[in-house]
Amino acid sequence: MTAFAQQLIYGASYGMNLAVAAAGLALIFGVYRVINLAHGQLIMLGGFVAYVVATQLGTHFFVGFFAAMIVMGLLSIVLENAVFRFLQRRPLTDQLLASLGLYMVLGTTALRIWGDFEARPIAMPGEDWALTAGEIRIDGARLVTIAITLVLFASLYFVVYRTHLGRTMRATAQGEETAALMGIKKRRVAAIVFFLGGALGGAAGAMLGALFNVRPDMGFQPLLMALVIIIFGGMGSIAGSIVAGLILGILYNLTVFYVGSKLGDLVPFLVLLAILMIRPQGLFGLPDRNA
Amino acid sequence: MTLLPAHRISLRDRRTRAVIGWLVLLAFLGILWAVVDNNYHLRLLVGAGTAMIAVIPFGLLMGHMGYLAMGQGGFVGVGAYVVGVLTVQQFEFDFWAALPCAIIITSALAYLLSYPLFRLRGYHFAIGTLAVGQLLYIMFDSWEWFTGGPHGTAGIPRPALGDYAFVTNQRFLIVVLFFLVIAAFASWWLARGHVGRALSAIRQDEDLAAARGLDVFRYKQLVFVFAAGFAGLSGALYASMQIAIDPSSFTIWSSFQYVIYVIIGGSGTLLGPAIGVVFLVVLDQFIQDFGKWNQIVLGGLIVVTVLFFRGGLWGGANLLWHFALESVGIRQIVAQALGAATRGK
Amino acid sequence: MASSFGVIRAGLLGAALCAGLVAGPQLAKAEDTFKFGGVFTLSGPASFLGLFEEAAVRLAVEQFMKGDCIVEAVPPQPCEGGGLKIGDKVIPIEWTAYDDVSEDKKSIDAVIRLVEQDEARAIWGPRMNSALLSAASILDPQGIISICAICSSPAMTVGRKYGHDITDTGVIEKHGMGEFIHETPERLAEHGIDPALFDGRKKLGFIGRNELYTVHGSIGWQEAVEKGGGRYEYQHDWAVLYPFGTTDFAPHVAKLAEQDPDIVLMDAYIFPDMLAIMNEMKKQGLNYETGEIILLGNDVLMLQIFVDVAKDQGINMSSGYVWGWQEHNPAQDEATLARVEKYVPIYNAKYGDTEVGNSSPFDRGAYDAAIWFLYGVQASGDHTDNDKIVEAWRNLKINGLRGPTNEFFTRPDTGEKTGQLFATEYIIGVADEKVFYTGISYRDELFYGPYVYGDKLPK
Repeated sequence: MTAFAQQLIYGASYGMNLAVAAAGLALIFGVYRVINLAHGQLIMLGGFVAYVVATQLGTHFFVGFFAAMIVMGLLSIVLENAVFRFLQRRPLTDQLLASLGLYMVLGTTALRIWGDFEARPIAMPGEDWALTAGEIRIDGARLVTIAITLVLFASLYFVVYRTHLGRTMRATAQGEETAALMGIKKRRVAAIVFFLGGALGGAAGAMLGALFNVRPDMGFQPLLMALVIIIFGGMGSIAGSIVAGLILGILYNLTVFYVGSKLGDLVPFLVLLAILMIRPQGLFGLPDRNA
Repeated sequence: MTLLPAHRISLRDRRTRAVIGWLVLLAFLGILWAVVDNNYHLRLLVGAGTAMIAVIPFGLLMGHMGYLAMGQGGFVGVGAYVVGVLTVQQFEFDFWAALPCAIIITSALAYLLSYPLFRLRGYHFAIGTLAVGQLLYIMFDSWEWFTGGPHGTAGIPRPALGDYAFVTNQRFLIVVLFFLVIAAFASWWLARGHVGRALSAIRQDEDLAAARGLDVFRYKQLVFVFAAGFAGLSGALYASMQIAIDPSSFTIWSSFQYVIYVIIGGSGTLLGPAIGVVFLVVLDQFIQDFGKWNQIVLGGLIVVTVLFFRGGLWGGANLLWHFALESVGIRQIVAQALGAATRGK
Repeated sequence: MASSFGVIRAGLLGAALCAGLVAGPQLAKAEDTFKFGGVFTLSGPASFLGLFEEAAVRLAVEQFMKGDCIVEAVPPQPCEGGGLKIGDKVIPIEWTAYDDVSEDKKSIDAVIRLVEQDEARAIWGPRMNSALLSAASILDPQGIISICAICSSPAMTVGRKYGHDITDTGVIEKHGMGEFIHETPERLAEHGIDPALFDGRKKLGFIGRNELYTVHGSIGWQEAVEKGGGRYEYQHDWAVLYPFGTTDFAPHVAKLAEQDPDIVLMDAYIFPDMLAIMNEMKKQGLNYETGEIILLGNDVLMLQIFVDVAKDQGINMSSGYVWGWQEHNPAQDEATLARVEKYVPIYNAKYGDTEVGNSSPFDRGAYDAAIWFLYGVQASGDHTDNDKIVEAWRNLKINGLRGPTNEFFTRPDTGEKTGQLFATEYIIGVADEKVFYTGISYRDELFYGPYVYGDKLPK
């Protein structure tokens, strides 16, 4: 039982990180209808920005964290301007492929600059303490990332549902042309959405990097998980991301622990196939004509 | 059955161009086969031909029908592993006995999977197939007693007919070209007539097609199984070409590779994907010089193609041709010359 | 008839492609140079291994051409510059390397390119498992020499006449660790190690990334336990093998902790993985700082730089419960030290500012191997006969950067020289944040079992 509870906690903490990684993808898809595979590399580059700022420049974790969010947000706007805005009305295939090309370019560039071998730690608050209850323990660092995640999601919720900006975003999500007729500036909304999406990717990268070291291949597994999470949670649903992330993280950990370490990777895909069969619109999604 | 009715032979006709393109491509491969004695180049041709066998039918699924499948590498892997397991790992089948098994098993798998997968469309279908590909990869890796696990399977034989063993690349290329012709012809045959029309109806508006009474599922299933069967064939040949296989050849990246071939070459045509393969194989020889940066070159190329050359290379070539035809006035000159020749006959 | 347009156009396209395919240099047959090529992973996820190996071999060829080999052959061989000294001729060496982008198919393409187009007599790499097996089936029938200095795989040499592995393998390494844990208290005490170190410890664990190297590692670990005759318990299927791309190690370490091992062998070699695993172990009751478990690791764990990095992350490796091995002679004699001191500045000047980075023990191993091979070719007296080259090379020894007198392993059953380095494993510990050599080393004891020598690898 203890072991089970412990795995629940580990899984939940990992799942929260994945949820942040997926939220950026979900937000962009929800408003802009584009799937950005290069999001995985934004996560990775976010980790590197946090490492450079927090560790190499010797500042605090949170300085690096916000730097990662801002830089990745800006990079995301650049990508939108250079690539994605030409793809909005194009077939899905084109979007996936172009973003795959970007994934390769960004990933190889990072590998060439930073190499694969070194350890790149980021010191983070809570590293040296833990909460314990009997034999169950929660590391301080994991608690801190859970707290950050909750704050991020709360702010995101606030922005999307309680501000004018959020209304324009939701209006755009429901129908771009109508929104345009209502005087919403399409390009401005796109920039903001991509900024927020990239910033969430950067935040996920900074947290994953601080917990588990920064490395050039760190975007791959979160990307795969995020692709699954956005379907599982319901395309474009932010609340869905967090619930789906938690479930997936927990299932992953339980599978590794109880079934076998090699088989952990089966989980997201089995879950995905199951959800696609039972409820293709996902947990929080509305039935979609294109689903 | 005629490939092209005489009255349809025209410069502007899409089908004419496609048939000619095909004949040229096959003739080109045949000539290379005869001319090239450099084993390395032969090997590249074998590799390109093997890939084409999977890519051309896959192009029907992705281009004609508009369903992006991101797990095709898994089906290629099934074909390869069936041959690996049957010829080496568990039994000692002959290659020719194992080959149909590879096709049948892969097709059967695709048939079963088509029921759940075609409840999905668009992005969901893409990610669903990605999940299938990834599950197959994990199976290759974990089902150790059957597939050899990370050890892989080595010593897969090359085929033979009687005493004539297709061991060298030059001989093996005959086998590959033979199946390539079959794959191309079968795809062409499938894409014409009612299946082709159904596919394009599905691509344009599936709901409308269904409302008009088209049994869309049957067509989707047919194409999916067809593409998977040839993926299995391609995998079987790949296993024989490589001699040894292990799970690392059938990762998610191998699945992306097929998608890249189609999009770079030109989706929605049969010739496009084949051209995509040839182009990327040749390009690879040049970007070797970029050494460690070649992934960046390839990635950048994908972005540029998607953004600026929507029809891929084949589409671009056609566009250029039209441009030359219409604006430069070559058409008149050549047409006059040819017209004279035709009259002379 | 009008269709001639298509023909012209497609013909042009075809001609362009044709030019691409056929435009390789067509080389003359005359062997007035010695052609030597390699296939390395220079890009993609495992590139760090390929980068320094290629760098070291390239440097070795350059140094040989310059006549400044640094490393000496036993019996001595001339290194006079300009190339290989064969009879009274001097044969220049030509080095070509290709990138396999971490793809099997491309690495086999590259092997064939080297054989057919570049006419290489010997090929360094490829390293990846299935590529290695495919390459063997292409190279062996043609009698082309196959070399690797970081492969760590029995498939390089077992049952192969032309295969050479100039490092230890995952199996041999674990045999070394197996000897160490079966050591008598007297011998431990003799070398200043707590004689009760292994008392009361029974259950062994194993953790590594899911790849062939660790699978062989786990097999070797089980063989070592079997050889010890029941003092310890371990089975191959207990191994915790986490997938590529794992970020959160908590569940994997939890799985290991669930087995409640007394000794854990961590077979990882990538810093971030190792640090993450070691951090988690401490948290999950597999504490090597307090002696709850003994942590055994490999030559990467026992790098001073790793100990320093670990210390920065709050990991104390100096508890006396962390041990590993290395393959490079740590008790370096003055002659070896002098060679290393000469080599390192040359390497660093060439690569220090590039992504390859500064010299480490790993590139020194590859450099040794490459010079050794070139001496071997020279010793054969005929650079056009691979059988002679293999024969001469395998019977040549070397005083290298890794230590004095490296040689190839001789099969005890047939008395034949194999292509496997007769590697020594030196047991290393950490005290006061410095790695030190215990003075215990193994060699003859390690070379047993079907994965070390035999006519064929077990299926």
